[in-house]
Amino acid sequence: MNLELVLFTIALIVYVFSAVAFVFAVGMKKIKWQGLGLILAAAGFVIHTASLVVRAINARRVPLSNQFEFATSFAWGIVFVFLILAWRYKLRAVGAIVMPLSFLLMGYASMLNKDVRPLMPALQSAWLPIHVGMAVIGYGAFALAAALGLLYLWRVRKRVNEEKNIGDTASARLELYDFLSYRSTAFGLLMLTLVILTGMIWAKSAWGRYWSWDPKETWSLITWVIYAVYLHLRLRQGWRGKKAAWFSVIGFLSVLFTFVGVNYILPGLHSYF
Amino acid sequence: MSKWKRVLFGLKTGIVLMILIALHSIAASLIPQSADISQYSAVIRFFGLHRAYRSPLFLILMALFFLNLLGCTIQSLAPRWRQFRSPEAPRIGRKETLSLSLEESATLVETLKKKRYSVQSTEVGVVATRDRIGLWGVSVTHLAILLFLLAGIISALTSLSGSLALASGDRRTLDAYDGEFEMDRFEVVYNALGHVEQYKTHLNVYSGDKKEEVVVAVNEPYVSGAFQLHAASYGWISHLLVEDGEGQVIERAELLNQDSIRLQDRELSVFLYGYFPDYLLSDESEPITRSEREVNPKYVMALYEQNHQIGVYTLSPGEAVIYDDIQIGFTDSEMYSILGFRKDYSYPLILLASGVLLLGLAMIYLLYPKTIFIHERDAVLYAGRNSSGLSMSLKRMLTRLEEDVD
Repeated sequence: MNLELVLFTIALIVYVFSAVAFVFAVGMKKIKWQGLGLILAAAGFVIHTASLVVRAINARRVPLSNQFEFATSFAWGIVFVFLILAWRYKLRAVGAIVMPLSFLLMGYASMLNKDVRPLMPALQSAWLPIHVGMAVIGYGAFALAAALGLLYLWRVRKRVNEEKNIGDTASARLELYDFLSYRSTAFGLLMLTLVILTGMIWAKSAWGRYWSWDPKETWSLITWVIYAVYLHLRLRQGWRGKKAAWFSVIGFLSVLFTFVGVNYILPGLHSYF
Repeated sequence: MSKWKRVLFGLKTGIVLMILIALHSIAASLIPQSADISQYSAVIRFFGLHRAYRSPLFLILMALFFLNLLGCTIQSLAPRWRQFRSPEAPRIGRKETLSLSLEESATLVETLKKKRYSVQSTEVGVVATRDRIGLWGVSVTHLAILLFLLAGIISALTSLSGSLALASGDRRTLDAYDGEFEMDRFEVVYNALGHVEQYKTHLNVYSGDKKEEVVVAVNEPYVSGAFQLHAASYGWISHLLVEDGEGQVIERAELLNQDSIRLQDRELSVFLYGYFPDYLLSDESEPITRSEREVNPKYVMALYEQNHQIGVYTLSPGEAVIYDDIQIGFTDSEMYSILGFRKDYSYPLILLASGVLLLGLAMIYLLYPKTIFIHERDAVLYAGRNSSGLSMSLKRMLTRLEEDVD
């Protein structure tokens, strides 16, 4: 087994342990386990980064050119955005959703062909790392927004089931989840906009037309529209809390379909991904 | 404002239209486009989903969305201008109040000065403002979307596109371009490891008295004004030679892979299954080529007589099959290039719209207007869509957020 795959496998295992620690911490209210989960997530992230760097050195290019490379980079993007959130806002509980999602993506990546193949001429462009790299970060932000939305919904449901009144601290925490989910969505939408714009410019030189209604393009636009509707409803119609949380989850389902579903069900110009 | 204007230019209508456009696009992405019309159900034909992006339904939705966005943007200009010019500090968005100690209040004023806020002392306290220009962020973003839609309309109405297949020496004219294209040669460029690095088509472009030598490669199109020629595909042309028993030529022809030809005055047809320049038999006994290098070239050919297959043959260049006293074979092959062309006047507008969109988003995300009224015991702040975010930033300036205790 080569170094890259060794690092990839270790990162996957560390992410599994991190996910277990976070789920245990949130489910069993063992707060200290969150710290362990975070340390493991950070360690896994470092190892994961190393595996991507090794692949980049071996391939002599940015590892963003096929389904395996995008899947592992997508997981990397999610953990990256999560670690920023955990560091900046001291918000760790969301790891109980984000880390399982990351290791599932890594698991999915592990089932794909991992051979380092030469980059086909169509992908030999300076736009590749910009276009796909921003998609990785944007998708990571959408994943985090959905995770925060789910956490919000779970907390609210738990309170309702336990028939507890929401105290000030808990209420403030729910508000924080809601707000950060919105911020994460807004950032993700900015990234997705840049992904679409750079894609249009690249498509113009590669295929002669900036927009072809290719399935990947179409689903990126659908995802963009979903999140644009979400932001308008939130900012102009005051949609917050549960409604906003559900919207962030639906938006992420669209992201997942754009990433995985389109590749398998709807072949098109982006089929090499 | 009349009721119909309120409805047509309203946010709710805009949201409904966006949802309908998304639903239409979902359906269109799942239904194969532009196939034989008899293959589609009556419902699909009724809604025009078999050619979804040119259907009346889609065009109506887009036209309504364009009108909605245009009306909404125009209506918001006057109030936004008044806000922009008002001597009063803008109070936009949700009001957030932050409790402060006397010491924190003074610290906050100093910190905001360092962060380039315009700070003014008034009778009721200190007013700090910044980024009033951000009031225009939404309008600029909407303008960009309108420009994109306009570009789409121009493109749909005026663009011309198609493809051009050229072999060495071929010379062609196009309606979309005032000039002629002559192919010099097609070249596959390999890297040191033997992998394909680029496909290059060397062309002579004649325009008036001028001759220009250009190379069209993948991601490297030839561009002349609104006209663009890009690399689309390539293939092999194989030269068929049929001779009688005395070596007299009966037939010469150029065949592409999967082409067939009926020989003159005979019931005999030649079908070229494929030319395989680097021939190999797969595990399933299917002929494949490992690369486009002519390392071990083979032709796989079938002969038919009155639609009855006589046999399948694998031949080297120059090798022939003898049937009914005639020799049938291929002398050699050459590569041809398929170039896509498109003449589209809307692209500069797309670039302009992209720039305007980035500007609008920068104004929304970074330059949103911020107003903070600082009193002795509290600060009241307004920051458009991000009052909560600004409140958190101020808290972080003063103290750290408390650890999460989930």
